Amino acid sequence: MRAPCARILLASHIASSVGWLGALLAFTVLDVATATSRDVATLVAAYLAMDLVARWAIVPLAALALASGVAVALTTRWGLLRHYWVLLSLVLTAFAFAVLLLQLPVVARNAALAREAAASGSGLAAPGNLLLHSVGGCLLLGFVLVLNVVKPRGLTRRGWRLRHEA
Amino acid sequence: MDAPYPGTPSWVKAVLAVLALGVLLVLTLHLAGVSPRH
Repeated sequence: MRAPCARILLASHIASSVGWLGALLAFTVLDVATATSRDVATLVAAYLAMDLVARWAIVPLAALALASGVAVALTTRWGLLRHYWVLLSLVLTAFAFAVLLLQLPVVARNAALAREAAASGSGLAAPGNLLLHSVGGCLLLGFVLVLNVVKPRGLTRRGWRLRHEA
Repeated sequence: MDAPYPGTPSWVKAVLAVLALGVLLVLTLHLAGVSPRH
């Protein structure tokens, strides 16, 4: 791949990955608010904002981070399945993305309940929070970030074979 | 003669062990019905 294209790809991967983590941190702050507040206005605002942040920031950034990560790995000397740190990053990121997609309906349902409560002026039945997923996601993405910065040594069996065939 | 594969690095084994413990913890919480509600 030509150098300018490779740089643009790497820049988009870094921006989307860090953006995903940042958006997830914002989501977690709102999630903590839903877990600790009893004020209906705060709960309604937080649930509506969580839905917007998830759909318009976290999901697009996560998809871009995953796709650009695979593209960067395949177009550089690192490869996708040659080094353990790349393989682990891929598996953990794919897992985080899958959990994110599975939790989207829950976020949407909570927002719908909040919208109903705001429209009717009634109280908000406690739909629960997603702290396990949001905090777990932050820890997981933070670990992947460290892994990508440190790049610890370790070839997979496939990477070892390819290196010795070369 | 090709050098033999040195095996999986110890840091990978440590990470996998921590992840397995995390999965076990989450499964235990789910099975115990622990679900944070306010």
